[in-house]
Amino acid sequence: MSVVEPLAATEVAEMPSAWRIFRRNRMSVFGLVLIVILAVLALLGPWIAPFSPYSTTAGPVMAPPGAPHWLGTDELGRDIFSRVLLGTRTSLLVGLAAAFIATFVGITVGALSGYFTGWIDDVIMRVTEVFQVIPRFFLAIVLVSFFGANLVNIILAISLLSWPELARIVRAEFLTLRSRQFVDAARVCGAGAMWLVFVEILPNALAPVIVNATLQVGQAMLLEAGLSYLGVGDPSQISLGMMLQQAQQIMRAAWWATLFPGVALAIAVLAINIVGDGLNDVFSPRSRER
Amino acid sequence: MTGTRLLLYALRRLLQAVPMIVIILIVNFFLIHSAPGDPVDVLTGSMETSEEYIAELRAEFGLDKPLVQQLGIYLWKAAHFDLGYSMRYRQDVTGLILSRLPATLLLMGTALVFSSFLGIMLGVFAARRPYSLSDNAVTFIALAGYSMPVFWLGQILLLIFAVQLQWFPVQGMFSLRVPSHGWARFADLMHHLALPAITYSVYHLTLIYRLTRVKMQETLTLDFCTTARAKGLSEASVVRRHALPNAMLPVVTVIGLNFGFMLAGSVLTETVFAWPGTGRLLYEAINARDYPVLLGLFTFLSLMVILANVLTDIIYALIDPRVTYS
Amino acid sequence: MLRLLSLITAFALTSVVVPGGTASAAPSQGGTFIIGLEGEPATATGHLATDTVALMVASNIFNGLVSLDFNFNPQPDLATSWDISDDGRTYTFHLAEDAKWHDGVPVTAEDIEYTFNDIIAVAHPRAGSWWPNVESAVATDKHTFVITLKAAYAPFMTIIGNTLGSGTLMMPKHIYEGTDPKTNPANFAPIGSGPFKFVAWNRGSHIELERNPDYFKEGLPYLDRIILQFLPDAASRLLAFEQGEVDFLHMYIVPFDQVARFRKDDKFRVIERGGEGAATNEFLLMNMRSGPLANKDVRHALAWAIDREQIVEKAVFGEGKVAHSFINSGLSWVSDGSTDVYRSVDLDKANELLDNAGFPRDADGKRFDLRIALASGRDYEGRADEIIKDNLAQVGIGVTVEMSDRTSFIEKVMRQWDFDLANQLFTTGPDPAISVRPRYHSEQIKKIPFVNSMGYSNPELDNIFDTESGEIDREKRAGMWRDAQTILFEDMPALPLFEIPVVNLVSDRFKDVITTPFGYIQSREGTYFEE
Repeated sequence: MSVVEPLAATEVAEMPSAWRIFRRNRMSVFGLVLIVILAVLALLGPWIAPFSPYSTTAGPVMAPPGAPHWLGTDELGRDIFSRVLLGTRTSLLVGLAAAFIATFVGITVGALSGYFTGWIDDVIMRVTEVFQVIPRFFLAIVLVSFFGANLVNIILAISLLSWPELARIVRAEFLTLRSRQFVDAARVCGAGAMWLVFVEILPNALAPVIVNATLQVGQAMLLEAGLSYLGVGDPSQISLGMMLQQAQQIMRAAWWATLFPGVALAIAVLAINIVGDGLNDVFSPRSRER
Repeated sequence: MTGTRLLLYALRRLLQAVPMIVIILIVNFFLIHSAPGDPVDVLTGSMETSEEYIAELRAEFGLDKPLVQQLGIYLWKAAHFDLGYSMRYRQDVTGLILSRLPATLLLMGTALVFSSFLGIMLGVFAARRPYSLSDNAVTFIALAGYSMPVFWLGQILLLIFAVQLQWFPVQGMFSLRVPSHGWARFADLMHHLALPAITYSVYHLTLIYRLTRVKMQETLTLDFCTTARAKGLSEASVVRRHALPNAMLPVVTVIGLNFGFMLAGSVLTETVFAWPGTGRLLYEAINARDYPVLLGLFTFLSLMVILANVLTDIIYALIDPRVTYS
Repeated sequence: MLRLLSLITAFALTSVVVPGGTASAAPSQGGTFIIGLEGEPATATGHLATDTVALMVASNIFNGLVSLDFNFNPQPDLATSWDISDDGRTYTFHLAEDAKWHDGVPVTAEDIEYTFNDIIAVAHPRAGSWWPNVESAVATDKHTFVITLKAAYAPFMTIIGNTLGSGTLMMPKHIYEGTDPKTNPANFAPIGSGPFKFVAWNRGSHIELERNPDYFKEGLPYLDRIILQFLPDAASRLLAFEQGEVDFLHMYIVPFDQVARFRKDDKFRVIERGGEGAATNEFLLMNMRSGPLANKDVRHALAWAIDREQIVEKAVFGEGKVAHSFINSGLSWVSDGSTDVYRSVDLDKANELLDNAGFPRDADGKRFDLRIALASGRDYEGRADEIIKDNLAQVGIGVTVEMSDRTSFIEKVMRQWDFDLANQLFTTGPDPAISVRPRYHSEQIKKIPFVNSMGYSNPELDNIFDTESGEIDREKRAGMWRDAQTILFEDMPALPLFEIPVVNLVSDRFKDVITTPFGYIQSREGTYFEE
């Protein structure tokens, strides 16, 4: 089965030149600045929030945006700005955690497959293919709705569905790298399999992994929102997706309850995607020629 | 390349898919059956009933048999294209899925054509001047489309175009209050289709746009394009005659691969716009714990993905003479 | 295209108004009534239907023998009159003589006999709860049908008038004879005797019904068509209603926080009746088997500590009211709110009860922890639990809310009895003998859904349950039920929290939409359109 790997790269750039290439693309810098701002807001959320995000006595019910509720209030009188801060935090957490787990599994599986080749590779690749064929959003809905809608299950379900892509990328990298001279040299010097995998090959295969992992963070945040929308999100956590789900009923009467969490989510994912794109350019050999 | 060889290749690819389908069936079966909750509870509704009645229902749907035996029966039937009998709708699952399929295919097909066309156009446009203001602007907008939750985009479109401007209806496939016929019915359908199709397109539009742009950039710097330019061909015809056909290959692949995911992704759009397709059927089946329908949909979708992949490979082989049928 | 469509719409709407007729004159014929449903029905007939949506379809296609008015007195439907013998055992029904099935075949007592004996008794999930009281059900001539009971059974007429609970919609014998009523294809293309004929079932979209011109009730129905559209997404359903694409949303799918808004808008009407038949209360079930909740004083302490007024205010946005009885106040003849002694919150009393019951506060002020099992889907239950958690924290009880989806919830709470507290909606009507008895009778301690999962047993109460239904006199029955409600509040196997708000939303252009205590599912034979 053919799979497109638009992010394939061969070598890691040196750090100084990497930053220069990244910086050259103004959009990437913009994205990075956005991410930093969002991360700071999310981290400092509890201290900046003007109201408790849970308090139903923060203000009048469905108040339109304006002082002191800058983004309005929802149907229970909760302050939307405070909730967006907390929601961004939860959504980012889901995105990062899911991308981290997916990356970890993806690297492990891909490395095993690409380093050992042979029957191990065959078995692993068949399993990966099965995972790629099953429509993943369907599977995520089923997993979460069957095994309980809590944040941990949601993170696990999302990461379970995201690793095959990474595994394939890592495998492809390993297949090209394992027969390179520097690996052969290390092998001749008596390096063991673990040493070869983790010290010699892996660092050289990291470039596309980093790009992919970055993009996965954004995808995971969107997946979480989608699950919440379908009613299989974690109701005890305020995530941006959960806010959107709850705002649906009052969509017509209070557009701000739907608009602002959605915009926050779109901005966060957009910033991540822009940075991912920028990184892709950094690692792609073509851009270094320019 | 001869027709016979191509046919043999297609056959072999299809045969290779069979074990995969079986594995997927088994995985799905155990996954769904390991979930907590008793499907019989859904059937009896929210009222108390007798133990005898519950036992009767279990027997009717074969839930009283050991799990392995249930699996065996399921596989045997699946081999005969019988995906079982819906517990919720008391109807044949294959029929149920097929009755919902046209709506989804219409929505998907429209979105696919629209997003491919526009995506390729924009990609070509942007690739001609990489990192220019226009490239950056298009890329930014495309990335923004890629970063929005699909259901939220749909809701915002609904609020603007259906509620505020009243240009479009808010839900459904046809106006039910005033049934129409002939061309009016077609117009009515298009009227209902517009918003969901646009919502559905945005994600794929971005995907195709980005890929086209990257591939076009790559291709335009390749030797044969430089040669063509040296021969005095205008940039426009270099793009049209040389670069575009080459850059199309991966785009075709992405469309092919996305076919399955689009089918699966329909659940969000269809829910927002109350579009009566397979995506919504899935959502209802999950809520109802309708095992046969869930399994049927999974199998069906996986099959579609595999088929789409095979088809893509074949199209790929047709377009690109370098691919060998090995 | 837009303009064309709106022209068509305008034409269709105006054409149904009688030229020159005044708005307040007799209802005129015409109009299409679109009902929004929360999902696709499993069937379009009554005998298999256990869900609201299926009955909303079936009640328009079929007739019952009788229907019920708001006082739960039987009213004519297919039976135009009836006699009940003095011993309360023999019910003789006289059928309408000109009723016809939609295929033209006349309706006879044979059909009724077949429906009871060969369809409902065999296929309906709830038949087991009342059919055993029936000795025989026979047609004595073409238009007379007699049911003989084994012993007097007071709720009998209410049961057959309650098509939701018992599936007693009359079916054609000539279509079903010799087939399995569970799989007969007519379940999806039903043939009834009712005001509307089945036209089409567009899978995943809607069911279409049209006026039955040969309906046996003179002059009825008024509407030309009824469309039942499946709209599983709550937001788009509400939007469709606001935009006038849907005309009716029943009480179980109306978002309570939005009702106030529709009250102010004169394009819509909020109908606050039609739920009396189901008479639904929200309960907090208590697992009485072990732990602190096995102690009656602890259960009483919970009742003193939980602020039910606040729950009504915040969980259902003030639309419902506190349930002061185990029987919903919609059943006014039997519901007795004076049996509820926990009229106001009393934290001192709660603390005292808990201290004396042997659960003193520890150094942190904590006595013990309880879990509340919550099923996803009803957001008001989640909001109520937040308040309960807050209330109980004040008397030193820690609460964790454990949410799962509905089927998992049923598995955990009702089949495995693995819970401390649980949120559950129970219908208490149209007669407590069929809807209250099964929850608290000790013989109903079974591992199946919606029975006595609490493990509650009181022989005195069992005795009332077993004898009251033999009493025909309503006054006397009400007295026995008053004792039952007092015992229930004393033993507290569950705490009635609030009554589900009865708020149906309807477009103001349609009148007489709700005329019975089962208004959310009733037949729309008398509904008419008025610009």
